[in-house]
Amino acid sequence: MKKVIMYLNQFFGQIGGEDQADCAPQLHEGALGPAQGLQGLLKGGEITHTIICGDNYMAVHTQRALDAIAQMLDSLEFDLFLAGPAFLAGRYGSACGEVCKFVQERYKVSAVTSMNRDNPGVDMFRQDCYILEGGSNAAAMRKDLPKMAAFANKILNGEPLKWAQAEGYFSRGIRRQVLLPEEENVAERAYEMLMKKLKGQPFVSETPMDVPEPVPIAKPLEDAGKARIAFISTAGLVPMGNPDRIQTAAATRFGRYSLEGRESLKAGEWETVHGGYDHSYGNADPQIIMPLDALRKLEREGKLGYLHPYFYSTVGNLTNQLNAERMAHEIIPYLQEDHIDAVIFGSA
Amino acid sequence: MKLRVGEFQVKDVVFGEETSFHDGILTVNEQEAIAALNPDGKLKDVKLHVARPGESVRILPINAIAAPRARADGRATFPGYTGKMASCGEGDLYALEGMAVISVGTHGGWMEGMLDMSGPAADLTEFAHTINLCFTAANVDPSEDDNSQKTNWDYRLGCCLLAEYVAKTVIHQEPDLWREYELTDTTGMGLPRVVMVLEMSTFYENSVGYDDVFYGVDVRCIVPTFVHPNELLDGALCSSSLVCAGVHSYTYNYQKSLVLKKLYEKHGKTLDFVGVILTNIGPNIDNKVRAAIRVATMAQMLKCDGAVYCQLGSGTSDVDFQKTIVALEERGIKCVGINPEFPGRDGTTSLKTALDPRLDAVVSTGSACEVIELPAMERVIGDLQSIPRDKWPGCWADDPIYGPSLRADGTLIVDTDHIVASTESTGWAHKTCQYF
Repeated sequence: MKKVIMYLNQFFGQIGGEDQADCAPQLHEGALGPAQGLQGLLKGGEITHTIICGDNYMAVHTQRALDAIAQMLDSLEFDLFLAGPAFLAGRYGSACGEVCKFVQERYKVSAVTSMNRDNPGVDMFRQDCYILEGGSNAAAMRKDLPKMAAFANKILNGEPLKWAQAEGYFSRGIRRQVLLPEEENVAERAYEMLMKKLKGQPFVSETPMDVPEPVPIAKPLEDAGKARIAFISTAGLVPMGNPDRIQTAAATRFGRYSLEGRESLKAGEWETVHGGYDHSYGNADPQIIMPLDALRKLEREGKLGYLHPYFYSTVGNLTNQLNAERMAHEIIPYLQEDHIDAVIFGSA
Repeated sequence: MKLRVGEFQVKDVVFGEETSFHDGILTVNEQEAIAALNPDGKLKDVKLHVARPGESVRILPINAIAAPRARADGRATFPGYTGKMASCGEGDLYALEGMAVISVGTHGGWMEGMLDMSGPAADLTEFAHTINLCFTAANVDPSEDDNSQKTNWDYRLGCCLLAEYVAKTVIHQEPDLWREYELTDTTGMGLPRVVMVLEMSTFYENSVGYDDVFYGVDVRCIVPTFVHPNELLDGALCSSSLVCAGVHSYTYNYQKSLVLKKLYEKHGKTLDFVGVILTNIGPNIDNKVRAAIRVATMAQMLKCDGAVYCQLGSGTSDVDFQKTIVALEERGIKCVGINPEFPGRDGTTSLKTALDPRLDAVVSTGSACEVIELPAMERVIGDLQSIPRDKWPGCWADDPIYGPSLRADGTLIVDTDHIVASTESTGWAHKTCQYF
């Protein structure tokens, strides 16, 4: 029998109402309040302890409350942590999320809670733990508890968990591949979707196409002739032999290559490793990727104040946003150190 | 235009004295087959292998896959490519079903891929479920092989020639069944008119020998064109040496597209299948805009009500996908797109290069960058050491998070994009993506 620990607030833990909202965490053996109802629905798991904490206490003294809970849990063995359901109660929802996140990180044990879609705890903690979609008030308890139990039973019995919509939890924002039965291939699904679309019937698109927040474009330079300029490219130009082993696709690395004493980039000394376009031009003339001769000319003519003595190079082909942002943050300190005002960004 | 495809179900492929087909067993004379696939002697060390579904076999680096077909009238299976130019789409085609012909080179590069005949990767591709007649070879000119970007010209042509050679053995036999393909007259039935839009590899502007081959012509920078579905079933279009393995549509996929066959099956019943528009992955924005305009104009002139758009690859082709679907929708033609997703190895990043909420009906072939762990296989066709040695997009020599793709015990950790045709868009993918 696996062991489960439950978290409740002062009200559902039957200590009292708003007047007891300041009570510090307390540990009780066995299942109390809604935990008793849940116990009857669990298969292969036993609620060994219930932790109760006042909502205000958790909100005001969060670290102290978590420290106290850690003291209680450090000596206990458990396989699953449950909290709530919190319905639409904002402080309770945040408390459930806070505790679930803490327990999951500290004990590497799955933590599950339940709350209403409009509970602010959903957006605060959906990426940190499983939050099942629940009703708006305690009247929904008889629906939300069986849902929580069914999900808990899957975890207790090692069954694979399906995606957010199928299981009824709020997505953690992680997109994963799902295998379907062989007969549900894209030809069948595209045909069915097209027929519905043609008939004006509702259908569900599979790939979301929402546009993320655009990055605001920087203000123009007041005087390029005085500006300090650097050059960055995602076209994958590297010294022959690719010393930094920059990947041809889905790059995680960038190179920083010295321009000191160079007036141009010569064929044979540079190559492109980008796995998404015709290499013949770039290899024959690296300066169509990194136009050093043109930049030097502008520098000499005073149309460009100063050229940073390195250029930065990576591969944009299928490189994901997180790695792109990380590489940018690794490049920025070099630019700040040299007081760079603007970057010319060459794409593939 | 009526095409009859005579299907012979292949139960096994073996080597023997005489190339022949009896009771479902295809026997192949190795010397003759090798001579057929390598007519100009540009390949060396050519060897044949058979890989069957469920076997503990790993095949890499794969650069071409074709379906074996032949004509009784002496016409080349792939006109303009494996033989003289002629028309496609009419007459009798003899087809070996349940098998594929696969070409295996020496070096991985950014289009090469891998196939496991069993294990978790076998769930991801149609080609783990076909009996595969493979050939391994090297180019006589070594510079053709040792390069991440290569035309694979003689492998790709050799693959089509071998597919033609083995199928020729059945042309005087009676098939298990004849399937007839004809766009019958649906006048007066009031059915919605539907076109299939198929993205081809067309983006090597001035370098010949990399892109898709249409009636023997390299289609780089082609202006979109309109074809009869029978032309594709009958060998008009062959695959490129570009586009990563997972999202790659091989010649086999073009010859047997399940999207095309689905629209055919419903022709005269629930829809009026108009035909196929072959479109571009443009190398630049003008080319992309031009293709979107041409596709939408053709579809409008064809009085289409709906379209199914099959995307090839990703990244730059996301832009063609977005622009063309928007152009079709703006002319009142309702579109469903089929595409692979790239949500990042951790599943948390943007899925596409070009996003647009007007693309409101998109079917997913799954994730091309899901990290998968694969067991060691008893037999390798090709070269396993190409994984740590060569520059592939779907695997790596080493990685700070995942370690090397190839481990000492022969197990692998790779992206799904490494597995041939795992997220291609012409019909087979029985996968999608969901938020967890």
